[in-house]
Amino acid sequence: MSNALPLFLQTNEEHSKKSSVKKRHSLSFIDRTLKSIAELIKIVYFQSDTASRRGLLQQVDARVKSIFLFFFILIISLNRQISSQFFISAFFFVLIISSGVNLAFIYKKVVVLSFFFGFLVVAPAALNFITDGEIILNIVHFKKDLSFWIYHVPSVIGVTKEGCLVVLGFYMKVANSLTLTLMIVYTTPFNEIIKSLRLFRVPAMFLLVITLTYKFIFILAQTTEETYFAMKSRWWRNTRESQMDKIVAGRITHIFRKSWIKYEEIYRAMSARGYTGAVNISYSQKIKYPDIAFLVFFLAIGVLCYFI
Amino acid sequence: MEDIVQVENISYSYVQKHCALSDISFSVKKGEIFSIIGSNGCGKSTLLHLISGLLFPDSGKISFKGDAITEDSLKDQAFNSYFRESIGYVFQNSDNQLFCPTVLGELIFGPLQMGKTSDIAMERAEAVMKMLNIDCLRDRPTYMLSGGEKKRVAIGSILTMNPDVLLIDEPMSGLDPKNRSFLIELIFQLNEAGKTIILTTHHLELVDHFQSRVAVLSEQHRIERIGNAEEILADTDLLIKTNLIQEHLHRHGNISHKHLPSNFLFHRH
Repeated sequence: MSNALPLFLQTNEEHSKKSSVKKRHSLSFIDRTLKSIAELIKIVYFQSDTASRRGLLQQVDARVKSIFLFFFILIISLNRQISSQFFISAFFFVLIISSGVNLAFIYKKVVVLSFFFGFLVVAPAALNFITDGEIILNIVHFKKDLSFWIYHVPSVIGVTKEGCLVVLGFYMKVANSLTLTLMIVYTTPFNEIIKSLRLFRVPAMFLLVITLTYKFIFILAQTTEETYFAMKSRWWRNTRESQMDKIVAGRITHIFRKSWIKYEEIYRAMSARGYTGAVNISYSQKIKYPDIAFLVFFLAIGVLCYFI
Repeated sequence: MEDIVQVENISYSYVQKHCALSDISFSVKKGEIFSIIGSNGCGKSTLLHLISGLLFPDSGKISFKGDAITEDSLKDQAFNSYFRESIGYVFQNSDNQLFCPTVLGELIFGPLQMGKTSDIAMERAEAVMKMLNIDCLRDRPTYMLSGGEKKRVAIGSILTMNPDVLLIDEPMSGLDPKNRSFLIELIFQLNEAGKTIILTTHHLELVDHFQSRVAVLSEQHRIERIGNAEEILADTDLLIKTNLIQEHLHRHGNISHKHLPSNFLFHRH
């Protein structure tokens, strides 16, 4: 290594902060994508933070919560009464508050996802040519009924009361299922959720793969965030698209190679600790009496909801 | 000497929850070497991220040559260019810093972004490759390099931009003795050429080598003391309190005993 500094490094350049055009720099698509991937870290932090609080659900054993989750998903799916769905929503609301989870955080997600998967998908069912009933809002008026093949279009198309109840019922089912899932996810450490799946005879190897994948996604997000910072620190003008393509291709190769190296290292680390192909995941913690009491309580509420 | 970087009462928390820095204030003069020392997790890297305008403080103010560095000021393209040209940041993990397909691509990326011609960018890349002895790696993909080579390429990629201020996060991490000596000499030379150097480390030998002004960060993420290297290194209580030195057990023949590290405290010629 030569210790002599190149000539250009021995001089201090004049950097100008003035520009004839006052341009505001906006985030590019790739910039925004990289940033959102990096945001994943925040979500993981948030999940681990809420799961470690001292709230009601956080104290319940993960296995009990898993039974609660699957049992209530079943109840929500089978129940056709809107009043029961409202009762379930109120019950979940109380549980979320007593577990100290941010209401806005959960309900923001629930509202957005339920709108797409619980409302938009079934919205046409509110119309009278799908669900027959009393029209409460006229939309289109034809001169006469139209019939072709097996289809029949009535002269008045509108929203029916019965149709609205169908849409509302479906929307409530989706919203309740989402609220329940998010509530369990945000009050249970990820590794506990995975371990509790053993209760449902999910193969240990499958659980191990999920755990490693989760860990890897987190590491990947950290790597992406740091790379994003490195790019940002040297990337202050709009890079040409061709150059951008090369950079992105380079990063994909880099991440692929890194994944491969990590996979080999993890396999060696597992072999070094006696892994021979069979995975044994133990659940040494015993279910305590308060957990059983919670389980009975949850099941009773579920049965009550079903018969309301 | 004028202040080039000013940090005034800044605090920063990750996810608005985990405090990384609390009420930090100091200033760095043009042309000086300034070391930020502290134990693992005390917020050294976060502080460099804030100075380089990659993160923004929850409260307080950071200025570069008198201009406030904020999310809004960096949205102005002209100011952003000026700031990025002036400050070069060498990350602790070189692996994540290198994003171009080849070593040469990495070295010319900065100058090209600055609007230099391809000839000038190539000229700079060649000179830096020669200086860092990485010219044999020019067409090699960066993921195929060893840890030491990656570090040299990462430093080279910043040097080709010829910034006024160099932020170096843990410069000695992952380097063998030969590379360490080279890097120390390089930092001295860059400083003699007028560059301002801000570095973070928990290696006290480095502070002793540079005899710089030092800010000591505590495990509570606050500035514990700012002073010159000599007085900081002489304050054993401070170094123990901030977890920069600890007693260690070792053997002399058959006798084992514990004491504080002495290599930097009794550095003699």
